[in-house]
Order: sequence, then structure tokens, then C-alpha cells
Amino acid sequence: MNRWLLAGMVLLLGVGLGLRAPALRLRPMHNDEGVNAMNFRRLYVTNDYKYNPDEFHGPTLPYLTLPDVWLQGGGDFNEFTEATYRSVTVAFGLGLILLLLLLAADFGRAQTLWAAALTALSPAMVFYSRYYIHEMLLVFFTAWTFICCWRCANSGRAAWAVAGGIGLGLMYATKETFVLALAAMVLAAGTSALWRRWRDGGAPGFQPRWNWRQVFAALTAAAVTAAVFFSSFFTNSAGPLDALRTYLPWLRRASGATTHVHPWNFYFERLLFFHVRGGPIWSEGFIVALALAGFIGAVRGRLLLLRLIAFYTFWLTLIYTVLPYKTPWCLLGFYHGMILLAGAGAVLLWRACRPAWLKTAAALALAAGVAHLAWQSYRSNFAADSSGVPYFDSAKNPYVYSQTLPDALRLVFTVEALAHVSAQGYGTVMEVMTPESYWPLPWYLRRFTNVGYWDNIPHPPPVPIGSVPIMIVSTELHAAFDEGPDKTHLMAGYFALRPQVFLELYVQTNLWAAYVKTLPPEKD
Amino acid sequence: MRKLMILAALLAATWQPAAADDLAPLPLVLPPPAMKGTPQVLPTNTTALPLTSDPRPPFLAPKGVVNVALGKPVTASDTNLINGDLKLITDGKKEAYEENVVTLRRGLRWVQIDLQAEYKLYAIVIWHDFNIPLVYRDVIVQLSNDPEFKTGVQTIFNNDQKNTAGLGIGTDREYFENSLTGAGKLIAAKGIPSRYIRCYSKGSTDSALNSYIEVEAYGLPGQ
Repeated sequence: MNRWLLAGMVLLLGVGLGLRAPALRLRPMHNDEGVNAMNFRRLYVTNDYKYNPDEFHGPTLPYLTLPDVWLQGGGDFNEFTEATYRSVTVAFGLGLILLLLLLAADFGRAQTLWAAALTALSPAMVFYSRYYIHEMLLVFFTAWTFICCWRCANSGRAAWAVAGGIGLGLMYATKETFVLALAAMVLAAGTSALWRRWRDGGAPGFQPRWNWRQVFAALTAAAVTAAVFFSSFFTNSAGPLDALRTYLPWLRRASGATTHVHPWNFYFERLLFFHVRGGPIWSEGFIVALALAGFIGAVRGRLLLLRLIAFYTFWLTLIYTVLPYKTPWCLLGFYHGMILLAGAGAVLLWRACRPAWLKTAAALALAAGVAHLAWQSYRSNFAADSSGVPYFDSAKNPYVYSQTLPDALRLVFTVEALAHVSAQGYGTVMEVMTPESYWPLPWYLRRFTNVGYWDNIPHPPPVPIGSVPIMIVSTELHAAFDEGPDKTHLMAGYFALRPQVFLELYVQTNLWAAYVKTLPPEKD
Repeated sequence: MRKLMILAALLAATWQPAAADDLAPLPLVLPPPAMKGTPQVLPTNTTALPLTSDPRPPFLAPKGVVNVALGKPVTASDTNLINGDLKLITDGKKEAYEENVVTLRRGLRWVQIDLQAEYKLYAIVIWHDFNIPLVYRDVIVQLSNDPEFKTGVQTIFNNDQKNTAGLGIGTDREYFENSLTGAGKLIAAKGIPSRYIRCYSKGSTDSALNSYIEVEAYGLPGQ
């Protein structure tokens, strides 16, 4: 391997690590992250994790969290922090950069380095590498599968077919939307073949070396891998069947039976020009523009690999644009394709600039684009606006979506302090009542052993309301537990769980009195 | 003996709680709202219910109650006022104009009204400065016949949840000074017989200072 390529990749891995790994506990857990962490609890603590076809996506995330936790020394689930979980997705985010080494020989060294740099610096890639959800794993396994398939077709070696099959199985066991990436790959292969016939007029070109035995081996590896994960390592026989049944609820969601319905330009707004009043302008237009150059170069040129990437990206972008179900992290799949194209586009642009002054201008433009990406990545994860609100928790950030607010941590802190003065400690009875999603509270309240979760005020209550020491209730329910004639509770404060989702904290007056005694005296 | 029995029956009738027919809405006249529409930025770090322009439900009190605090002398924990005069608190002028506001210094402060006789009090209504929607901290209202508030003190409202005033933990919520309705804060006093009213506060969400516009006390003569 070329030592400059290796040195460049090491440097870019360092840059990627520098943007992804620091201060992983800064941002409060998103509700999906809370769900995923508690799913991991079922695997790690009670050992009864089973794939759920109705919710929560695939089993790779909890299973691949295990080695990460073991590497960090294992220990008590309750002591795991946000960083414990997010380091899993950080690893896959960095792995996405490393994977490019497998492509360098056919893609080109300069193109590979550019693609690695843009992957390392892209604000979307950085932000969601620090997010304990399935998406980064799916993008990684998709890239792995794509590269293995390419190398198999290129070399004819069965090992690549098996590796690609394992990648496909892992894609399947990660997230239901893998079918979209798979469809885009198949469409890209077909479109590429048609394009070659139309443009090159059947001139001799790339001759793939795969055979049907390798296809069979790949599909077998995919089926076995998926079955291993979906069956929870052969302990849940219904798992593989559930892996097929899951497409009924997910198809309903994809067609719009969900709150996540957004217009067609949802992803493009985030990637090209995102501006909320009072916030900065965000744009990864630099990458998209280079990707466009790469796409033009791909369809006009004769490099099959680049053409496959171009058509794959085109189809996947189209699919995600047409589907009404949209969440911002879903863009990672097609955006990774754009980043690869952008790597090729940057080199094309550089080579197209012949005169020295034009090369200088191109170099300055490329450097400015790279610096702008780095600055935006830093800002979206570590900086705050002029009023002190961090961008990782602000609607001014294009990648923040239904994010838990820091106020929720104030609620958790208060409840923890109440537990410390309660004779029952973490056994203190607590009822959470809210028609909205209460996640990620179950993860934050994981040390409490007597918590009930309700989507309304239960009638009749399982225990008299007056005897419940702590109640967390949505303002939508107008509970007014502090207005009873006995004054058993006081309302200790409002807490914003997410934007426009407010919770009231009701505390028994005697417990509150004990808590108040522990507070430092207030200064005038 | 028969006369004594009739007298006892009459006395018993006098001491019975007021029947529904004896109650009427409080003869409370509200000042005009200080502002219209919903303000863009409201304080958030509070236990107050959201600000609303809905009118308060009528408060029923025995017929014949009047504002017995009108024109009565006012004293305060703070003799060094920032602006205004303590007399403004019981002068009957409730509009949110600057000339009606009296402001005490920062920290926990109280104002005290001497009703000059004992009254059975049914409602206390307080208007801090309600020019903008804000929330006063550690609002405590006490009644007593002792001008020093050392004996016979009854706390009828306390939202000092952290007991920073040292008068006990309050279980009441904070509330917005409602600039949309000018409604003031109405506190039920349940007919407690008292001569003195003391109102505490410790700054607001807007300022560390303590501003009052008016305090009214609705009651009937105690004897």
C-alpha cells in the first residue's frame, strides 16, 4: 500500500476521531438513544433481549454494543453513561473512513483521500457518529457490502463474496431500510449496464468475474448472519420470521402513517441551505457541488466503479426523496454515496484546472470548503449560540430532531436528590404520566426500581395518589395534584423534556421538606 | 329559660357557616389590563401556571364584604424605599402606572397593613407591579392580631418552596402577575379574624426589587 495514502488515512482518522470522540456526554440522550440503551439492558442485564418486529429496528446495535462495553471493562449497567453507548457509533463512523482503503486501488488514491477527508469532516457524518442509533451501522455495513461485492466481481475471489454476504446479513439485521440501499445497488448495476451499452456501444470493458457459486455463498452467508442475530444467537426461534413480519408495520410508516412525514425537499434543505431565524446558515453544499461534478465525470467517463457509485447514489437519493417518511439521519445512506462522488469530483476539478492561477484558485476554494465543513462540525457539536444555547440541542441545527432538552437533566437531578433523602432510596415509588413519549426518561431513571409509566392519569390509580412520593406528569393532563384539600403534594417545577413537551414534578410535602434541608442556603 | 334558649338559637344561627344564599361574588373592581396579546418571552423557571387572558371565576364571599384595607396605614420591613410611598398600597389606585408603584429594595421584604380593627377576612387581593407578566418569588401572606407577627400567625399563602424566608415550606404555586387581565392574585382567607396583614416577597423573575401597586382585604367587622 502506498505510504502517502496510509499516512493520509492515519491523519484523517485522527481528524475524524478528534471531531467524534470528545465530550460524548454533552448532549442529552435522544429518546431513540434512550430506547436503544434500554434494549441493550435486556441483553446485558436480564439476558432476555428479543428482536421486536414492531419497533426498535434490528439486533446488531445491542449485540455490537457488547464488545464495546467489554472493552471498557464491563461493570454495572447503571454506571454506563452516554459515552459508553455513543462510542459504538463513533467506532463505526471511523470505520467508514477506514473502509475506503479497500476501495483505493480501483477508486484512485487521491479520490480515496478526498472521500476520507469529507467523511471525516462532514457535519452530518460527525453529528450522527455521536448518536447511539442504528444509522451509522447501516451506512457502514452498506459500504462494506458494496465494496466486497465490487472486489468479488473484480477479483473473482470467493472470500469477498462471503464477506459481502455477511455484510448484507448485517445490513438486514441492522435496520429495515436496508432494502432501500439494496434496491439502489441492484438498480445501479442495471442502470450501469444499460448506460454502458448505450454510451459505449458494446465496446469491450469490464468483465465481472463472479459466478453463481459465489452468489450462492454470499446469499447463504447473508441468511446465516441475519438468522444468527434475529434469533438472538439461536435462543429465539420466532426471530427470523419476525424479521420478515416487520415489513408490515414499517411499510405503513413509510407510506405516511407516522408523525415523521416531511416534504420532498426535507433532506436537501438540510444539506444545501438550512437557516432558522436567529441561527447561522448551515450548508454542506460544498460536498453536494463536488458530488455533482463527480456524477458528471462518472456518467461521461469509463470508470465502472465510479459509475456504479453515481447511479447507486442517484437511485437511493430518489427513493428517500419520494418516501414521505423522513428523519434527518436517514440522509446518511445516500449522502455517503455523495461523499464518495465528491471525492472523485474534487480530483476532477483539480485536474481540469490547467493554468497555475486557476489551480491556485481551485486550491483556495477547496481549502475554504474543507475549513467550512470542519467549522460547522465543531459548531454543531461543541459550540453555543449568543444566548448560550448549545447547537447540539437547538432547532437552529439542521441535524437536531425532537431532541431531549437539558432541562430534562435538571428533572433527573432533582429526582435523584429526592431519592437520596428518601428512606426508600432508589426504591421510592414514582409514577410518570404523559400521553407523549416519556423516553429517554426510563434510561435516566434506570436506577429506580419502582417506576410506573402511564399514558394518562390512571383511573382508579393502582395506589392512592396521595401516597405516591414522586409523580412526573405532563402539563397536558392538568393533574393539579397540589390542589387537593390535604395538600399532600407540591408542584416543584416545570421541566421541558423536548420542545413543547412540558412535565410537572409533584413531590410529597414531607419528602420535599427533607430535600429542602439538604439545599445550600440561598444568597440574596 | 325560654328566652335563654331563643337567644342561644339566635347565636347558633349567627355562627353557622354562610349558606349559599348569603354568598355573593366579591365586589372586586379590576384595573385595566396593562398589555394586550401574548408576550413573546415569558419567564420559564417557575411553578406558575401558564399566563392566560381568561377571566378568573367569580369568588364567592359573604354578602356585604368590603375592602377594609382601603386607606389604612401601611408599614414595611424596608424604610428606605426605592420609589413611591407606602400609602400607595392602600390608596385604591390599581392601574399599572408608574405613579401607583411603590418599590422596596432587593431581598426578602414585607409590607404590613394595619386594618385598625379586627375583621373577618375572606379574601386578600395583591397587585405587584403587573406592567409586564412576571412572577414574584417567595410570596407569603400572613394574618395576625399581633403587629409583631409573633403570636397567632396564620399563613394563608406561601409559595416559598425552598423555605428561603425561614417561615416554613410553601406548598402553593408561583403565579404570573397577569398584565393581560389586571386580575391580581386573589387569596382565600376563610373568614380568619385578623387586624394585621403581612405580605412577603423576594424579588421577581424580572428584578431583585419588590414592587407593589395595591393590596385589598375583603372582610366584615370581626365583632
